[in-house]
Amino acid sequence: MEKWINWLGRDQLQSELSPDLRDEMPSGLESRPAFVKEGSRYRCGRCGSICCLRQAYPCICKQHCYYCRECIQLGKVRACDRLISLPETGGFKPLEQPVLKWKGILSPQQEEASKDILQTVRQGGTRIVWAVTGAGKTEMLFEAVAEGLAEGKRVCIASPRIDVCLELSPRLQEAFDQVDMTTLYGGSGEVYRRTQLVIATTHQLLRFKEAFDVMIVDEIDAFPYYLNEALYYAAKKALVLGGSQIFLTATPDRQMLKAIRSGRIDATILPARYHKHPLPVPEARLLKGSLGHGLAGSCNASAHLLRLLQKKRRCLVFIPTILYMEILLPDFERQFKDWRFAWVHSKDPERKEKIQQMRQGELDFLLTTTILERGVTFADIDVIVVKADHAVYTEAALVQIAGRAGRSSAYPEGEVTFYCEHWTRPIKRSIRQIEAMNRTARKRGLLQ
Amino acid sequence: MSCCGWCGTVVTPPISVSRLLTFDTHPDKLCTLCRNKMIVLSSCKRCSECCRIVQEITVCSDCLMWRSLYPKLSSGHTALYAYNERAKDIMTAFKLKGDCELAYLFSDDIRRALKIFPANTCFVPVPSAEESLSIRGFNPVELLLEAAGVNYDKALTASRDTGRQAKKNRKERLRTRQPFTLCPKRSKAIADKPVVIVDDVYTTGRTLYHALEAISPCQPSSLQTFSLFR
Repeated sequence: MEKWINWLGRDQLQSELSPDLRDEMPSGLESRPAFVKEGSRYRCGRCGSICCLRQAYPCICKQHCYYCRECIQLGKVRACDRLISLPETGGFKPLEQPVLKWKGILSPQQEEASKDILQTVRQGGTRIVWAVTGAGKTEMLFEAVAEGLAEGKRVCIASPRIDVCLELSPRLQEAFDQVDMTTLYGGSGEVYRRTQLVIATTHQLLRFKEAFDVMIVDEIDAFPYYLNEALYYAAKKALVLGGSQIFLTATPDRQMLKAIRSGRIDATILPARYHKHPLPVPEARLLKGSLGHGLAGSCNASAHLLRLLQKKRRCLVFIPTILYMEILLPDFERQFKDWRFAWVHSKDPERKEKIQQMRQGELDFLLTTTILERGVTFADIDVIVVKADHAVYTEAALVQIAGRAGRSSAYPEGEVTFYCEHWTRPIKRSIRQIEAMNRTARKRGLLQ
Repeated sequence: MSCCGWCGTVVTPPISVSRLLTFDTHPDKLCTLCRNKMIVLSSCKRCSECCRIVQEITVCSDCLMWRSLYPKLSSGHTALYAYNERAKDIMTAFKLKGDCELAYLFSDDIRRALKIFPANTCFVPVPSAEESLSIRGFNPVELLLEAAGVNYDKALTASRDTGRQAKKNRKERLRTRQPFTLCPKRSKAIADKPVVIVDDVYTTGRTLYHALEAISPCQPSSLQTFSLFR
């Protein structure tokens, strides 16, 4: 049993077990087939996705087997394999009061949300916290996490993005200094160790089964819908029956909005930013008689950019795809050769350095694809979106992009402009959503 | 609407008259971005023997060495793409992670390239070592050929385990001993037919020359090699 202590609450493949573990199988071990047959389809037991392979492939079992493509990054799940899990038993080292070492002050709206979250942690169930970009989400989790930990519950904070996890982990370690905690993400190189507090990417949650009493998922909207389903599956699988789930989001999707409006899910809405200024409302500029490929749009946008730069403003310019960026780059290089600028995209190895340069004010503007749509904070910038009618800009993406402006309390103002050739639903809806949030905030008296 | 087989980006292939008329429902499996990352060797300056990218079109120094080592085996090698970073990523996912479905990524290219050979050609895949077969469960070359719908002949077997090529440096690779033996049952089927030995990646040429050496006793009418990457 000693050897298995680290594997409490884990969900792993039988073929991955080390030989010394295999010798000594404890009682209470649950073993189930890696693939579940549903009618004529097969579902992966680890990630819950339906297998969509063209054929079964030759396998180590000398037969032909299906495998799961969705979660292959965590190791191949073969149909002939089995998944092994051991129920979590708790029994963590008792903590001394006060568990929470953080001494900040919450705004009245954060205070309210913090109470709501605490209640969900006590009662179990699901709660959505819909907080606008820059509302200060992490701080309002502290109280609830502290109580959960004090009661000996196992707590997990997950996010789809590695950047967010890496940013969270030192802050939490500081706030809960006596709590043993690990940060799990792909390629961390660390050997897994069972701890009471876990920070993980949502992908890593697939390796757990009924492990956590409290599951907090940040930025649940970071992926398009079809990926989201896997995320909910992972969050649910890793949660103990009757545990509490808290989802944080700045831009709930349609389905979630419906659930919130109909009252099917408990929701807490935070419509104002921490600094009590309204969100910058984007202005959409429609271009008439354009050239079809949207180059006219970028011409107009670049004239606008020039005006802003001459006013000594710093800008973030969003461009829909890498391909599009490659087309536009020569134009930008010609037109803005006197200005300092850089471009980043998801496949750029120097992206961290460039973002750091922008943050330190060494660049006048930064061209970016949607990778900077969330998570990053630059003080005092304006935002321009080129070709905002492109399909990559969903409602959530546009709200997030608009949320990059005016984030710091020293510079709460910022200008957000969308350039488009057509009005699209996401453009209209994102503007409407931001305006609605500002209205709610004003009504509740949360703005200065 | 379909997804890029590598990066998963949703692509909407343009509708063209020829596609409508031929009912071609299988457009490119890669998106434009990923496609641009692949370097097509037939449009590059390359060694006339092994398809390696070189400055001037001649026979490269490696091939001259192979010529002196195996004077009778001088073959023609055909390779489709350069083994650049992207190709390495794809092969890692395919072979190491075991994502077999990726075999279909290049099925059209391979089918088209192998059509050039005469109809009675025997395609012989380079066999996997017993050890890697037990870890992976599949032979990547055979999967590539199956995905392309090409019939192949398992005329070679890996008799001796010589360790993983990918873990060795160039010198160690070149020093590898002959790992292949001819399958006696198959040798008659091959005799007097053109033979093409197929591998996934051509790095030093060591593996393929071993395969050529092993297959030459059954006297095929011609002997050539093919690889997806070079």
